[in-house]
Amino acid sequence: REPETEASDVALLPSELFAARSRCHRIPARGQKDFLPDGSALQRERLERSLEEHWSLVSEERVERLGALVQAEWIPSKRVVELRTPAGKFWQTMGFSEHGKQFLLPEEALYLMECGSVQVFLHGLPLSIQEGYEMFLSPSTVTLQQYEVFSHLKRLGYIVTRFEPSCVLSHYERTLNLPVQRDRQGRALKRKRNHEAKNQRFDPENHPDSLTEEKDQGEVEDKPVAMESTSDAVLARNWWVDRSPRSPMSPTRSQAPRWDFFTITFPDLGARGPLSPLVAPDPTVLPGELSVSECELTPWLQRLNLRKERLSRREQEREQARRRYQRSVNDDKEVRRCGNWAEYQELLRRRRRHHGQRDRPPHLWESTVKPLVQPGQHTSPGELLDKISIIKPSRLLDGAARLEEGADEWKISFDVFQPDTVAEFKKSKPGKPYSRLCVCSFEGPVPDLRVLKQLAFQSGDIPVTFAVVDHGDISFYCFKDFQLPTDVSH
Amino acid sequence: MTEAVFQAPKRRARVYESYEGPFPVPLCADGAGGPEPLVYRADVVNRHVVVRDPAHIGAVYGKGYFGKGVLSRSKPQHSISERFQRFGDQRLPVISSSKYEQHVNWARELLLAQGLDEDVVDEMLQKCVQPVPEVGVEEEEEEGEGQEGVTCSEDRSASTGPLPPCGLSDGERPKPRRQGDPRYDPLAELHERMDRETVDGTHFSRHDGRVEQEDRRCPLPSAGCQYVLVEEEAERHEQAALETNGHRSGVRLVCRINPFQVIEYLQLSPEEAFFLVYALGCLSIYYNEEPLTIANLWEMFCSAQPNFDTTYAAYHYFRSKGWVPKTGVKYGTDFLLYRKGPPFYHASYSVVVEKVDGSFRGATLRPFTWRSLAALNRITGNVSKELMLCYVISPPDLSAEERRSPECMKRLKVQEIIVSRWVSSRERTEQEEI
Repeated sequence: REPETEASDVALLPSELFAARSRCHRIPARGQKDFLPDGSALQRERLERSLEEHWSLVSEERVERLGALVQAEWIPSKRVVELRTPAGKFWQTMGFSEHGKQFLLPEEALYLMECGSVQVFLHGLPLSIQEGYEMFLSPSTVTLQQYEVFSHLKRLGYIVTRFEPSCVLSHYERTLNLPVQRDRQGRALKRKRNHEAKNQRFDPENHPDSLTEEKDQGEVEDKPVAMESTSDAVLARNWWVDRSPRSPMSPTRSQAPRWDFFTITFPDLGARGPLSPLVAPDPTVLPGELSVSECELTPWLQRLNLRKERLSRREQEREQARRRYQRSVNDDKEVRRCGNWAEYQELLRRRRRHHGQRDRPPHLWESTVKPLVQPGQHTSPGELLDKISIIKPSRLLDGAARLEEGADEWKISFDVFQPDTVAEFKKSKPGKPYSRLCVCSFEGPVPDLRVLKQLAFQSGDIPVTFAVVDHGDISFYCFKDFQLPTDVSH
Repeated sequence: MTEAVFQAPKRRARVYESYEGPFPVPLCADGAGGPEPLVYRADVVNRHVVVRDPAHIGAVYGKGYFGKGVLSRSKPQHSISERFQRFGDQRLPVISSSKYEQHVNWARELLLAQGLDEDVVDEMLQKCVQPVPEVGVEEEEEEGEGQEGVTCSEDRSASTGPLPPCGLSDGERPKPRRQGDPRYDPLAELHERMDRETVDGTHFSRHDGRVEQEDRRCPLPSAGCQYVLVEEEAERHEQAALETNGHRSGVRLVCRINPFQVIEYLQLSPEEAFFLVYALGCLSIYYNEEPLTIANLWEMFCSAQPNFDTTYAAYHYFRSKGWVPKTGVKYGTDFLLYRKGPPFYHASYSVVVEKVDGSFRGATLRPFTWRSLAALNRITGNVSKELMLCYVISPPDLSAEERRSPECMKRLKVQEIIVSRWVSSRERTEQEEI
């Protein structure tokens, strides 16, 4: 193909071609920044020189071998670009096949045009970059900001594909490890959500309907035992239903208690002396046909571990220190004066009241709202922390399922894969992306918790990164779910 | 993964303090029933909550790092001077004479403001600022001039007998002085020739026979008095003696009573105060000598500080996780989270508290723009902390009536989010920099 026969491109003279070939491809080094303009001629000259270098670099015309360019055609009705000549290296990560023909998505085509790998025609005429921008980018395909993010990441080597919501596996589906079948345009086949078509994979015991119910109404569970717990819940519910006539809540309270504790003795099994065997209980108190004979205690006691514990030296010392300050409750004269449990309780109450002024000041403890904990009433710091933990933590996915679909401004646009996975990347089976991108403008609002939850729910288990575009400058921010660990530092 | 990775807190290079405990409450194994107070006292002064009793200050700050000393950077360790010198048996702070004069002037102004006559004030101050003689020194320069409580008028002929002939307080056995006693000290003759003041003015560290009995001779007067060593111009005849002591030439140290003591309090923020009262029950807050109930306190704090319920919920949550939240005003946020306490670790998180309702809409307290969020992120990154957004979620059916009581805390939930910036250039991905 001779350049002259193409009706389009500027034909280059051989001299120009040669000049382009031998042009220095080095990017001019920029040197150190000056912080303030100092008005000197030297600074001005340096600035001018660097600006000129910049300008000449930017105004260079790209020269490509026509043979290396892949020819393609823009199809406005379908908003895709169809390749007319076979694809090059970019085919590994971009484009899709349909009916035996190769296609490119508009953003991919525009990017390749800018790279100089593809020449796109429309009605027989090649499109310029500007026309490409005008035609390929639109709210129905990919907006300019999204394209800026796309091309920024592609230039750095990342693999960027469009996000398909139906491709997101729910946790349940992930545990099944089903192969993902993609259709022509890379969209996964929409699987029927009620799983009836794939019954042979399930155990007949697990009720699929109740499981979907669980999923729809409950929150997305992250525990890997989600399946077992739901099935247990199902079984549990049935069990309850079956046995409700015999449930313990059925009213028997009106009857007098059937056990007379004054005649029932509780033997002291801890006593060291010889123990008499336990007598058989009164058959009237036993349920049903049960009959119990006398019980010999010695074989049981032999099974108990009554060996003396062998402590290490440090533990022994600790025990000694502890025992030194231990006061047996029976040494207390006042306690010995108590005749029964009620009197002992009264003594305790009296003592507490005596300390009351000091430990429990009435203005705190006698009013409507009381403190959560009383000083000196807990045994360990962990217990104290438990008692004051009245505010529960929340996870990002809690309640995310019931939020309605958000407005159009916040949606996930792309999947991003790491650059070092290029070699093994397969378009048919891309695997889990590194992150999902939501593109927004720097002038726009910052996402609040509601948006974060919606996007986290849409994305499944892949983190969502926000690409904030400020007229070509892109910053990426992540908002990640976090659980502050409890620190019981003793 | 979707969840942020927990980075271990960074320990400080030099830790000077020892960890006493997470909260100023005793465990029931020890402490309970002991002599220390279980409920500390604070007062409301000018709409601020302050703890005044030094013992209470020590307990409340020492365990849990609640509050801030009003005259200090954080720990209430204000002292009148950084330099200390030994004087008799104690170490007293050394201040310049101009500073001492300042204190005298303050005392004078205070007394005048109380309506006393000028002559009366002058007389009082005159008595107060008399130099206190050093214990054990021959009282040549400072003939006893009726100072408060300085009762040493015993003579100093200590070298003659094994026991010094002074009267002793508390009837304690004095430690026999062997130095200078010819029966024990071979250098006794030499010792007698040395200047008395020199000997007693210098400090020997653990020298055998070093005079220790002066401890018991002159008990301190009333406990409220603070003694200071004032640097004053020395008179000529003392110069020589002083130079051998190693003091600065021309300066002698005179012990005087500080007429105007500046006492430091511990100031508690509303969240800290409410936590100590409500969650731990170990603090009582008094207003005009009247103790306040928890409901009163809640009302007072809610009206004094907007959004107190939200910030308090976040504070309570972090405390119940065992972290120490301190004010985040230094870095433009609401809290800084420390593990164990500021002396041990650098702050790990810089927290911004936000309030959301039942449908998770919010951002009312501090509406962010990307610009302000980027700026805050940058600052937080520069000081090696992580920016955390803490959303306090209130259920949709929480009525205004319930909000008027602190019991509404039990229905709130907290969601933590870590904000981080991802740098796309391949060599530096912040997420993987661990």
